[in-house]
Parts: sequence; structure tokens; C-alpha cells
Amino acid sequence: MNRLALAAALCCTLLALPSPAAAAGVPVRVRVLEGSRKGPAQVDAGLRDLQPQLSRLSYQRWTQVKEEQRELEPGKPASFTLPDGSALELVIQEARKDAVTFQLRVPAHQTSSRLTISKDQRIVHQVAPEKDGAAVFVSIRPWP
Amino acid sequence: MKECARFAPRLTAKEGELSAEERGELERHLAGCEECRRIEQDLRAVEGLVGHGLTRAAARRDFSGFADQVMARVAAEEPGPGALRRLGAWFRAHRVLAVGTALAPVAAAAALVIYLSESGPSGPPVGEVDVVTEGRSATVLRTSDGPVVLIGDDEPT
Repeated sequence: MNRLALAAALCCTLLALPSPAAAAGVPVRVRVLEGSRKGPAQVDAGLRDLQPQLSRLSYQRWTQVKEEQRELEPGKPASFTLPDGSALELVIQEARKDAVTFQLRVPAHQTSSRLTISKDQRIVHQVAPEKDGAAVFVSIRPWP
Repeated sequence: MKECARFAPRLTAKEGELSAEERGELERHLAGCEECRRIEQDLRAVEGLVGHGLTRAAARRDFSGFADQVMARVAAEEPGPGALRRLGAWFRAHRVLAVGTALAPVAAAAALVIYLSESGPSGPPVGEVDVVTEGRSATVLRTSDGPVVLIGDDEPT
């Protein structure tokens, strides 16, 4: 009976411990893209996975400017530098089993968005107004 | 012979089993009946042999520690609280079932914890998009791969 009680106590202790998944952050892949109305229709090979979303837009030429992958902890903002020098602030407001809610802010352009996507989805978000037929976007993918 | 038959049951009587009157009648009969005296001597002899044999058999047996053994068994079987003793015996006889029964609530608690941790707070539903752009228009396109957010070219006022 003592061993039984010990086993039960051990189970309860293990259950009470925080799981590694809960303690760890969420890996997030952030890509900066430029869409242009000029030039030949072309999409960088590294952006093929975004084709279903990019094809909905009127830009015909898509170029990847930079890419970064970080592990974001919920509630802790991360800053990314955009090509024009402005900052993109990204915060995971909530991470659930299959969904995550992002807060995206570009103070220089007075833009703030909150988006909830499932684990297998990605966000494509314009972060600067179009200029000379080109616009800058970011794509955000959790658990890439 | 009729007298002999009447006294025959008294021939093997032990000390104190016959009253003084019965003992007197028997002795008077034995004094006058040679046959009954012979039978009485034979019976006494057999009785002595049986007693002697039993004594010898008992003597061969080692009874040292007998009392201690008996007392040890009595102590071991000392009844405790009845229900607890029976419950303990049941647990010993059905260990697997007992462990399973004891772990069932633990497993249920674990399942509940996992369910609650995985379902968690409901939070915003997938696909919910809230865009705030000061002075600019915003367009949200929803695709199966995720949302696409466009911001307008109009300058903030």
C-alpha cells in the first residue's frame, strides 16, 4: 500500500509540473516580401508556399527581401526591421494547441492588427503603403 | 453365570466410579468366582499395556516449545478491526485490480488536466482579424492558407 501511495503521489507530481511545450516559446518564421506591379510576372522560388495568397493580389512580381526565424514567447514583443528602416513589432497574444493570435504593429505607418490563425496557416500582411507600384509585405508563420 | 454377567461391566471400573456398596458387592463376588477374577486380571493387564503404550508414544514426541508455538499462532491471528483486516486481505489477493482501482482517479484527474490544458481558454476564433489603421483603409482577404491584409495608399489625415 505504501508503494501504491508513492506511485499515486508521483503521478500527481508529474501532472503538476509544467510541460516543456507550455514553457517554451512558439517558433515563428517571418519573411519580408516586396510585391511589384512592374516587370515580368515572377515569384521567387522561396515564396511558392505563399502562392495561393499572393495570387489574390494585383502584384505580379514577388521578391523575398529577408527572412528571419525566432522563438517568440507569448506576451513578449519582438521587433523586426523593415527595408525602409521602420520597425515591425510582433507579439503573440495567445498560443493555443492549434491556433495562435498575433498582434502586429508598424508604428511608423499607424498600423495595428490582431489576427488569429490556425497552426497550418500563415499571415500575409502589407506593412507599408504602396509606393511607385511596389509594396512591402510580411508573411508570418508559426511553427514553420 | 447370571451373577457374573451382572458384575462384568464393573470389572474395569476405575477408582471412584463405583459406590462403596457396589465395590463391596463386586469384591464379595470376586472372592467366590475364580472365572471373574481371571477375567478381571486379564482386563487390567490389557488396560495397563494400552496405557503404557500411549505413554511411550507420547514420550517420543517432542513437546518442548509446543506452548510457544500455539501462543505465536494465536498472536498472529489476533483479529484487528474486522473491516480493515478483510480489506487488507482483499488487496493482497487482488493486487492488480487494487492498483488499477487506486490509479483510476489519478488517471481521470490526468485526463481532465490534459483536456483543460489543451482546450484552454477559448480565445479568439481562428480567422478572426482585427485591423486598425489610422486614417488608412484596410482590406482583409480570407483564404484557406490564412488572411491577407492590405492597407490603403491614402495618407493619414
